[in-house]
Amino acid sequence: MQDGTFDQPIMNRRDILKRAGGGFASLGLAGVLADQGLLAAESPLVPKSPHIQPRAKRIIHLFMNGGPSQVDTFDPKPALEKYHGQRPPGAERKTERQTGGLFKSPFKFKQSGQSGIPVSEIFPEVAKCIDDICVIRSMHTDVPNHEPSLLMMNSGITQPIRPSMGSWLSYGLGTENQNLPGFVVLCPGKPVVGPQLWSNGFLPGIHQGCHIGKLDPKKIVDHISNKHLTPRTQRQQLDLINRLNGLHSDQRAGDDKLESRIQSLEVAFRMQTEAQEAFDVSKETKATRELYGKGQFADSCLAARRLVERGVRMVQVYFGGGQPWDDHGNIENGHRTKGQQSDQAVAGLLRDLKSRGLLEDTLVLWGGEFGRTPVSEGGSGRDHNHHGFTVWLAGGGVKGGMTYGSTDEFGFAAMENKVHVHDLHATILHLMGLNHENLTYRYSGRDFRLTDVHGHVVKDILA
Amino acid sequence: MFLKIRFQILVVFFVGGVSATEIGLDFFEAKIRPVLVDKCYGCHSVDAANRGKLKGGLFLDTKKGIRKGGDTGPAVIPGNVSESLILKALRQEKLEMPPKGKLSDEIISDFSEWIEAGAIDPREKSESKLKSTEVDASSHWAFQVPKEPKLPEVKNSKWGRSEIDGFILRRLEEQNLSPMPAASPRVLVRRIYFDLLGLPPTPDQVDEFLKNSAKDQESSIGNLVDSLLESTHYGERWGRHWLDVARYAEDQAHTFGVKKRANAHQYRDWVIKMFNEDLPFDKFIKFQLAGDLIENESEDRFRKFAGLGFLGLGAQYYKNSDKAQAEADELDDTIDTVTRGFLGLTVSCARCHDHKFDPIPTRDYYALAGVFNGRRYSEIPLVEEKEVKAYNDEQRGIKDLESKHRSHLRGIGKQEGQKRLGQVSRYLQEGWRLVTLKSQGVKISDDEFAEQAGLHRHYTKRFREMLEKGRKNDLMKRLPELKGWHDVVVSFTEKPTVETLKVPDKIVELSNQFQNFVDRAEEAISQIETEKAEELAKARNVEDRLNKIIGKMENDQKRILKNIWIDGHAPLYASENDAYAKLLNEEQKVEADRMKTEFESLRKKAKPKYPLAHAVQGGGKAMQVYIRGNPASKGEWVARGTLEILENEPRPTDPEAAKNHPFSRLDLAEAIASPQNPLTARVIVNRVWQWHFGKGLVTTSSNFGLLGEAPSHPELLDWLTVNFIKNGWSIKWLHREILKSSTYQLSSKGSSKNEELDGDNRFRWRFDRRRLEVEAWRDALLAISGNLDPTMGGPTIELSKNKTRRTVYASISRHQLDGMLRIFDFPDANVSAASRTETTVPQQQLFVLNSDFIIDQAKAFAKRVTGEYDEVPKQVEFAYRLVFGRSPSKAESQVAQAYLSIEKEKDDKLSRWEQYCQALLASNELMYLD
Repeated sequence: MQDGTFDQPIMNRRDILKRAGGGFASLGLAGVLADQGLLAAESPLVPKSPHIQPRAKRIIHLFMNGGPSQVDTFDPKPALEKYHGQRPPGAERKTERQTGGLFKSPFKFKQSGQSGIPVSEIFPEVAKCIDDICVIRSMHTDVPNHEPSLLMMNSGITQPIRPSMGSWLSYGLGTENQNLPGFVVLCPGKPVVGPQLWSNGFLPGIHQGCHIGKLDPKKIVDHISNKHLTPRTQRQQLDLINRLNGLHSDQRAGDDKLESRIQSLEVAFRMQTEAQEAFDVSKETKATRELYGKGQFADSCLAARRLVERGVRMVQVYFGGGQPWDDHGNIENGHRTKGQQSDQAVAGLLRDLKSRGLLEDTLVLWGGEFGRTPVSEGGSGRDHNHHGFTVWLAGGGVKGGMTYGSTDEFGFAAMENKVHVHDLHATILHLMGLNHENLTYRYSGRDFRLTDVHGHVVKDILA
Repeated sequence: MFLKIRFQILVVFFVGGVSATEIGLDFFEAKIRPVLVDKCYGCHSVDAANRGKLKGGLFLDTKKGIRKGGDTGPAVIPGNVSESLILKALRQEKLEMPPKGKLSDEIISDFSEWIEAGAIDPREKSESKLKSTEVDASSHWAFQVPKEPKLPEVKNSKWGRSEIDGFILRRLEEQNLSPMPAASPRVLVRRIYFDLLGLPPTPDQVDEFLKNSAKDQESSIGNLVDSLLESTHYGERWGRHWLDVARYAEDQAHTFGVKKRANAHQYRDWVIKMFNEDLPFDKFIKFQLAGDLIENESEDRFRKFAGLGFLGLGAQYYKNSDKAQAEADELDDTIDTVTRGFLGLTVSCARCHDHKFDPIPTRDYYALAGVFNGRRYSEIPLVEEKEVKAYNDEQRGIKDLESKHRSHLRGIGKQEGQKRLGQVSRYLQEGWRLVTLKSQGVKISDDEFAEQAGLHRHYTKRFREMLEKGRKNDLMKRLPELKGWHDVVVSFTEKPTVETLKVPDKIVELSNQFQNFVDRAEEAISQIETEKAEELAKARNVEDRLNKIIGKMENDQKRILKNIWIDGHAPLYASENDAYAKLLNEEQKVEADRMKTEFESLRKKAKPKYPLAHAVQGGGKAMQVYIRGNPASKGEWVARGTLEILENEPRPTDPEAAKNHPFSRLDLAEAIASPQNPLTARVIVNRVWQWHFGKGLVTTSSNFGLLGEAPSHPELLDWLTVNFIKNGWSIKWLHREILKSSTYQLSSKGSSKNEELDGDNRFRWRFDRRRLEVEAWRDALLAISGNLDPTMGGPTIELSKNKTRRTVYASISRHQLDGMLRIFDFPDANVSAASRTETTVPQQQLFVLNSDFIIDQAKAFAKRVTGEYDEVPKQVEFAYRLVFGRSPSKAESQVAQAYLSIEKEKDDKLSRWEQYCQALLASNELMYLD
C-alpha cells in the first residue's frame, strides 16, 4: 500500500449506497435512502411527511421574554386615558403583585399600513410591515408567573417535564438539513427556567433544542470542530475508520445498525464545515447587515434567517437572558429602550425573508409568555398579566394586515375570540402541516400531545 | 384463590326489547339520529372509542350512553329540557358543540322537542362493539398466578443444555426455525464480561478463559460467570439497570430554588451494594418502599434507610403557582414509578378516568395514592444517633467560637464609637466641610481630610456619607434634631479649599445643639450603669451589656444613640470587618486573630457531615377521588389499599370506614413482594432477560396490561418466575440460569432462511448484536486506555471534569443532563424507563471524532501500546487485543501498517499512532457487541 492511499475515500458514495441499499432492501427503504443521498436512513431527523398540506415549512419564534405589555404595543386602549388613576369595575383582576389604578400608555399609537392597524410608536419599523402581520389580541394563559408561563408557551404545560414545541416539530417533521440541528435556540445567557424551555422531555434526545449562547461559529454544536487535526488528516483518519468498519461489516452482512453508523460518521464530518458556515453572520453583505441593524438581537435575527434558509425546522430567538421585558417599574423607559433594541431587527427579518421569497413558507411568531396589566404597579410599571395579551404571526399561511380577537375595554382580559396558548400551538402545528391531535408520543404508558387534551386551530387567521 | 376479579368491566350494552313508539320514533329517525350520526358520532361513539377518539367519556350512539352522559353529566334527561346538557352544548351556552360550528336553530329546536316529548330512543345497542370488552380482563395472562409448566418435548434432542433451551427450541421448531451455531469462546468471553461487568476482558482474562474453555467449555463458562458475579463491578453494571427503572437523579426538572441533593448517591450506592450482595428481590422491594417500617430486619442504618431514596428522590414540583396540582403530580410520580416499576402496570392512566383497557378503576389509583399521601420528604441520618449528636455538638462548638469572635469585634467597634460620642459636634462640622468641598469639585480623599482634621478616618468617611443630601441613609431623616441642615446653602465665588472653608453659623449651632442631646444621653448611660450594676454584671459580652442599657433608656435618647452610634447605618458604627481593619490596636488584633484561628482550625479538623438518606416518612392519609384528576373537584372517599385485582377482601366503601381503613406503606410493599402476586416476580424476571438479551420475553417490560405485548415464550417466563421465587428471589440465580443456556451462547450471525421467517428474532434463533449502553462504552474506552479508576461509590462526578471514574458515578440531572449522556440516549430521569431508546445521530460521531474525552483516551492508549512494544506488528497486535480481545486479521494489519507509515503532517497535533488509536476506539466493533 502506498502513501496517500488514504487521501482518497476508501469507500465511495456508490459503495456506501450499494452496501447500505442491500441492508435496507428488505425494508423497502432503499429508494428513500437514494433520494436522501448519504443521509442516515435511520436517523430520527430525516424529513417526514406532514399530516396535511403544510403552509409553513419552518418557524422563527421571536420570544420577548419577560412579557411585553399589550396596551403599549399592539392593543391600544383609549379608555385608559379616561380612567387613568382610577380602579373601576373590570380593573380588579388578580395578578402576581399588588397593583394600583389604571395607567394610560405613555406611548402614542399610529394607524399603519394599508390595513390601518394601530402600532405603538416604539415599533416604527415593524409598523411599516404591519400588512404582513396578523395581530392576535385575545391571547390568554394560566398563571401570572414567569416560570410556569414560559413553560406553557414552550411546552404546553406549566410543569417542567414535557417536550417543547420545537422538539415536537423536530420529532414530527424531521429536519431538512441533516448537517444542522433541527431546532436551534439563540439566547445570550439564558432565559429564566433555562434549558427546560427547549427540552426534548421524553422524546429522543436528538430532538432537544440546540442552545447557542454566543454566536461563535466554533462553539455552536458540541464538539463541532477538531482542535487536533487538519481537515486533510481528519479525512484520512475517517477513511481509516471506514476501512476498519468495512472489514468488520463484511463479516456481519446485512446489519442495518452498522451501516447507519458508517453513514452517520460521514454526515458528522460534513457537519463540521457546514454548521459553522450557517452561524457565521459575517458572511452576509453589508447591505443585509445594515437592514437588521446592530447588536446581539439583530445578529440573532440574521442568524435565524441563515438557519431557516438552510433547512432548520425551528429557530427560537430570545430577546435576551433573564427576563428583559419584565417592566414592573418605569415601563416608559424600559419598553422604549427594548423597542429601540428590537424594532429594526424584527422588521429587517420580515423584509429580508420577504425579499428572498422565504416569508411565504416561513412562519414568524412574536410575543412573550404573557402580557402586562393595564393597571399600574408602583405608579410607573405594570404587573404580569395572564388574563389577556397580544402575540403576532407573520408569513407562512397566516393572513397579514389583520387583527384577531379582542380584550375588554381596558385591555385586561381576552374577551372576544379568545385564544389560549394551546390554541396557538394547535394553529402553529396546523400551519406546519401537523394535526395536533395526531402528533403523539407513547410514553409512560399513554400517548402524549403538545396540546394535551386541549387546543383548537384558529381557522379565521389562515390565509 | 388469592386473585379475585371484582372489577366491573365497562358495559355499554343494554339488553331489552325495542318497542316502536308511534310518532316519537319516526321523529327520532327523521330529525335526531341523522344529526347525531353526522355531527356527534365522530367523537362520541363506540366507534370513536375504538379509534381512540372518544371525547369526554361520552357515548351518544346508544340510549344508555346518551342518558348516562359523560364526564360532565347526563346529556339527555327525558322531559327535562333545561337540565339536558346536550342542549346547552348545542346552544353553545356551555361546551360549544359541535366544535366546528353552531347548528341551525331549527335543529336545536328539534332536539328540544324530542327531549320534551320523552326522548324516545330505539338504540339499545351500538353498531360496533367496544374493543376493550372483547377481552375478558380477568382472564388476561398476566393476572394469573404463574404455575410451573412441564418441560416441553422437542425433536432435536442434541441442541440445548438447560431448561431454558427446551422452551426456546420448542418454539423454534414450531416456527420452522433452527438455532444458529454457538458463538466462539472468544466472542463469548467478551459478551459475558460486558454483560455482567460492563467492562471488556483484559487480554490476560481472554487468554485464561480460552485455555480453560479448550479443556472443558461448559465448566469454564460456569466458572467465569461465578467469578464475575463475585466482582464488585457487577453491582455497578446491574445496579445501573435498576436505576433506569427507579428514575434515579439528584435534582428536579425545574431550576427554581432547587439544589442538587448532596446525598442522592447513597441510594445509588445502596442499589449497587444490594445487587452485589444478591439481596433477595422481594426484600429489595420492601426496603425501597418501607425500609423505615420494617422491624427486626437489619440494624444497619444504611441498609435499612438508604433504599428509601427510591421514593425520596422522586419528583418535586414547583409549588408557587398551583400547590394542590403540584402535590398531586408528585403523588403521580410515585404511583407511576411504583406500579410500572414493580408491577408492570400503567396505573397512572387511572388518575383521571377508569383505565381504558386494564381492570384498574380510578378508585384504585386513589387507594394507592392514599398510601403515600401526606408523606414527608425527610433526611434520615445513616449513622447512629450518638454520631449525629457528636457532629452537631462539634459544629455548635465551632459556631459558638465564631460568633464569639464576631461579637468581640463588634464590641470593640461599639467601644470605639462610644469614645467619639463626645466629638459628635466636631465630626458633624468637619463632615459638612468635607461634603461641601467634594461637591465643589475639590479633589481630596476622606483619609487625607481626616488626617488634616485630626479625626479618625473610619468615622470621617461615615459622617461624610451620611451627611450627603439624598443618600439612602441620610441622617436627617431619622434625626429631626438636625432639621434645617440641608437648608444651609453657601455660594462660592471661587473654589473653596481645605484651609479656607469656614463652617456656617447655622451648622455650628445645629451641631452643638445636637452634641447637647448626645451628652445627656451619655449621662443617662452612666446613671443606668450605676443603678443597674448588678443586672449588667450578668451580661455575656460588651454588646449584650450595651443592649441591656439601651433597652432601659427613654425613647428619644434611645433613638438618638441608635441613629448616631448603635445601628448599622449610624455614623459611629463599625462592622466586624471595619473594626478589624481600622479600629483594632496591635494587641487586640493578636487576640482577634487567635480567636479566629481557633475556630477555623477546629472547622478544618471537624468531621465531615454524616451521610444521610433522602427518604420519605409517614404518609397514609386516605384520599377522595379527584374527578378527572382535578384536585379541586373531589369525589368519593377511597380506603387505602393496593389494586382491587390484587386484593382478597373488598375495601370498605362507607366514607368513615374508608378514611380509617388501615393500610401502610409496608402493607403495600408486602402485597407487591408477595409470591402470590401474579405480576411482581414475572416483571423482574422479564427485565433481567431484557437486560441480558436486549429485549424481554415481554417486549413492553413496564406494561404487562392488555395493551402490552404478549410474551413470546409464556411458559418459559412462568418457569423462570416460579423457580426464581423458589430460589429465594435471587437475581444471581437467574443470571446463572440464563448464561449457562445455549440460547444465550448463540452466535449473533444472520441466516437468510431464519431472517425471512423471523427477522426480528422474536423466537431467539440467534443472539442479537447490540450497541453498548453509553456507560459500558465509555468505561470500555477508559479500560482500554488504562485510565480507568476503579474506585467505588461516593459523591457524584461531573463527566466533563472527571475522566477516569466509571460512568455510573456521573451526576444525573433532571433538568440539564450531561451532554455526553444525552446524545448517547441516556434515559430521561423524570420518569421510570423500561428500556433505552437507541438513536444513531451525527452528534454522537462528532463526540467520537472531536471531543477532548476521546482524544485523551486515544493519546493514553497510544502511549500504552507504544510503550509496551517496539515493533509495529507487535504494537498493532497488542492494540487489537486490548480493544477487541483478538489478533488483527492480515488485512487489518496491512491497513494499520499503511496508516502508521504515513508521515505526520506538520500542523497535526496528534501522532499517526494517536490518530490510529482514536480510529480503533471509534470503530463499530467496539461499540457493537456480538
